[in-house]
Amino acid sequence: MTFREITLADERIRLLPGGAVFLPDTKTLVVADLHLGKGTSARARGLLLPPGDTISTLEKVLRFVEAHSPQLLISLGDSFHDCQAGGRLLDSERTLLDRITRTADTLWITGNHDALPISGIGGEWLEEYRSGNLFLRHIPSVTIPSGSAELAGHLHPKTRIQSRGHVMSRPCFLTGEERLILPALGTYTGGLDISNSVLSSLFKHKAAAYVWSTDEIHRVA
Amino acid sequence: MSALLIAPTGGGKTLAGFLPSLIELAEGSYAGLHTLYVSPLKALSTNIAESLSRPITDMNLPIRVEVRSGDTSGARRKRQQKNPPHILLTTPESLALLLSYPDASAYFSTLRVLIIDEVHALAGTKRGDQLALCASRLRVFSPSLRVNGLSATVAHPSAMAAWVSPTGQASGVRLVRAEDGVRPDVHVLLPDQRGYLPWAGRTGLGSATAILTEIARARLTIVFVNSRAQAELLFQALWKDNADNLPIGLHHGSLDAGRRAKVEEAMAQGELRAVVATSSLDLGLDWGAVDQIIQVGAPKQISRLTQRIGRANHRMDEPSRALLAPANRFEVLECEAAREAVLRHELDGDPPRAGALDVLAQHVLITACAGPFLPDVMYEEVRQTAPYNQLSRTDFNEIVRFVEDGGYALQAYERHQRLFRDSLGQLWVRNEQIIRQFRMNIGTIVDTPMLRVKSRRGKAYGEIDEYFASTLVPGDTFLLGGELLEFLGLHDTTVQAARSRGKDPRVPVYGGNQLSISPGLARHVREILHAPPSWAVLPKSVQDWLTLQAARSRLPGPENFLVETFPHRGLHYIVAYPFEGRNAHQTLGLLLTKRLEETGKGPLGFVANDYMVACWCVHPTGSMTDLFSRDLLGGNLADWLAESAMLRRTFRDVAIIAGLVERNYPGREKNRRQMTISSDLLYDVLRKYDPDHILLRATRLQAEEGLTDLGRLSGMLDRIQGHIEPVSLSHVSPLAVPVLLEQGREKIRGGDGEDYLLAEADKLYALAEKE
Repeated sequence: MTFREITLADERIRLLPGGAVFLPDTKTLVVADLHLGKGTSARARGLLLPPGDTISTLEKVLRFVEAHSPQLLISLGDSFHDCQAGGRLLDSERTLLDRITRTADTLWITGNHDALPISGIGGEWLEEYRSGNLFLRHIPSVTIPSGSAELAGHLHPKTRIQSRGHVMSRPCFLTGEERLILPALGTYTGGLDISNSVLSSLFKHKAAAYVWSTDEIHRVA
Repeated sequence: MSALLIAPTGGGKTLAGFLPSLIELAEGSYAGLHTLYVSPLKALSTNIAESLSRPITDMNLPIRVEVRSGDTSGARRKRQQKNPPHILLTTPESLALLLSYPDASAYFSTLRVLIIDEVHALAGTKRGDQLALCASRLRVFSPSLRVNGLSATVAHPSAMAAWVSPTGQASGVRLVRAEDGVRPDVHVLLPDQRGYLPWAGRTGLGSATAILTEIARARLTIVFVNSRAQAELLFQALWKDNADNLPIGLHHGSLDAGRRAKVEEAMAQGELRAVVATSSLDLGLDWGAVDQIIQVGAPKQISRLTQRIGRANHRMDEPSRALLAPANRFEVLECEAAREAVLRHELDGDPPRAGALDVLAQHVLITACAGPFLPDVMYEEVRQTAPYNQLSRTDFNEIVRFVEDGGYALQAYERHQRLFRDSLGQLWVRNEQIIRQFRMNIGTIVDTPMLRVKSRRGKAYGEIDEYFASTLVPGDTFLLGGELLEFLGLHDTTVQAARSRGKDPRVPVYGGNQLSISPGLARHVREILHAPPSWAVLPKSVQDWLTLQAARSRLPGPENFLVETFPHRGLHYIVAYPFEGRNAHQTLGLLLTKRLEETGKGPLGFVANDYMVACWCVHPTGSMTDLFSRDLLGGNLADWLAESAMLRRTFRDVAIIAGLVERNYPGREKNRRQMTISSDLLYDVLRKYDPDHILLRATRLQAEEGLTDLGRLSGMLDRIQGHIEPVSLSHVSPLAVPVLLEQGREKIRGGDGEDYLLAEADKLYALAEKE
């Protein structure tokens, strides 16, 4: 696994294959938009989706935690698909979640799906967090104070790559001088193309998009 | 006793099916629904209702006939429910919906006769599976029910008889077969301009003037095409050259129902000289005194062509006249082969396959919506139908469990089941909300959602694919119903458009599968290709094309297995010519790309047509004799297959029909929050945590129908050993051009090839930044 390091507001940021971010100076691992419990969220309406999405997402997070041994794990909001999602966790999912929160101090940033803290799980809840020159929050803000930068989620960026007549659509990191938008890590999450004005209007200049192959990070836009 | 009537198209068999009912009803004492007529097309029901009404009114018979379809108003439905007609005409989907209501058992208890029209178009399809299951329900409500099936001439008559039978066995059914008509008169129609034919393409526009000449020579012609887009384009092309102003109409499934009815009426009244039509005119009554049919583009299947030719038989004792107009060079070979096969009275098509499990899941929920059921009883009921005659109890139980709670291995989560069991072991739907929700999901046709197209004043033109609509910007023009329309905007779920004079209109793309050529026809084509003396009947441009192929590369012959390799657009291509039909080639494409991935060639995709298969890689492709060796079939094929785009597409349909996900109705998203999760993601999760789940099994079973059994490919690999003729070229060969222009390319995702392309894109960025 090879990461790619970028610098925002003098802070070193490592983009990891798979869609997470590692801040080496504070040993902080950042993930976004896990949407735990999405698969079971519509069962009351009679929609019985395969419930494996939650365990699959948690396994991904655990692999990042085990590979990078962070002191702090930050989940950038929409960690849970709805405020009742905690109550629907299966025993196996809860076990995995406990393992994660015991391995690293965990900080849950509130999102629009999980605006209120979910009770009964490890870690702390905050609306936003500051790490050095970096602000970490769920929804990207329009203006960012100069000298600082922002890490956010919410928008699930993805991009189309066209080469030699072959077209790929992949989730991606999207970054400019003052911000980085993380891809959604949740198994059942879709994406928003980076050409959409909701995303492109957040950047003064053309944003850089990074996708990952099996074990490397590549800049593709 | 139930009966199956097999007769050539247009023999008047539909009305014959109603005669016994009319006689029984004529005395006027019958109360309640007596006869139910089901056909695959709404338009057919409407048409038959009119045909029946005439003699009923003329003779003043006390018989009420009504139509029930998706278009029937709510008020009329209520009236039909309270005061049932004697004869009700409907479609499989509307019948399934009727059966989901608790009063279905009372409503259908008086039913004596079920008439199923166009059995050949239903048996072996998911709509047919659904109808067979519905018929088994009807028999429970009315045990003495007789079924009268009506079918065009088919290759497997006794399988069709079993399909209409109350026991699923042909023995209980009286089979009535009409005689074949006079041998038809079939010719190949070549385009003007000294017979020049394009390399590829399926529209046949180059034949427009030749077609017009033929139209002018007959009273009434049906010009059959293979797709709605082709119909629109050809209609335009014909009118552009129509100096004599011959009245020519257009008929296809996306036109507004009112417009279609007008065209049908004009045909019946003899006001038209020709109609350009898709399969929308394949079925049903005689629409007029048709003198000849012109099939534009490849006929694909001999049985379908025979049925289309049968449209031109308004004088039973005279031969039907048909012209086959090929749209490209390969199609010339195919038309020639099809012409010979029709004259030999050959029929193709497989016997109906076993019933699909996703349709069964929907049926279980339909039944539960009408009232509680006992699984034991339902299993026996379902097995009385031909499609589910061999259904195992295990599969049935797993389907019921899927409907009940999802049937997942991971499930420790007990709340929110869809069904619950009472102390008698009966299963009930948990609440009304689920029933309401589910009724919107009934039906087995999985189409891309369609949007209505209207003028500002509300005049209806027809409908277009939602995806196509999303690509339009105001000012764009497109063709629909033969009119050039300008896109004004999207209002809720309606496309607003106005007539326009703009240039370069776009043609709406409609979803839908391409028909695959039957294996028999593919074999005939190969025989023509192998025998240069037989080329004399082919137009000069096709002869030149084959001669050029022989000079630049080789011709695939009976003794050699030609494999060409060449660079093209920065990639390395392999093209092989097995002539085994599209399905076999799809499987071969999967096998080849799997092997190429294993050997590090970075395959990016493949495409197959009926004659050949092409795949392409980022790296040079290596030895062809090694690639096409016997052990191409080794290794873990199941996993590679499971990853393929084909299985993902199949799963999407299975998920919708089985009720795992909801249908997408355009505009409904606004009213309530929808759970739209890509079926790809669901598929991946299910494979990872529930590899034996019944819906995955259903998906695999259905995908295997679309792929040739490996036994046949294994035989091919044995045959070609020692005969493989690799030809390395500097660019694409004449014979390979058509496949490179073929639609339906399958991508290989997430492999070495994509990794390589991503790394390459990255390098370009690094270079650009240095400068």
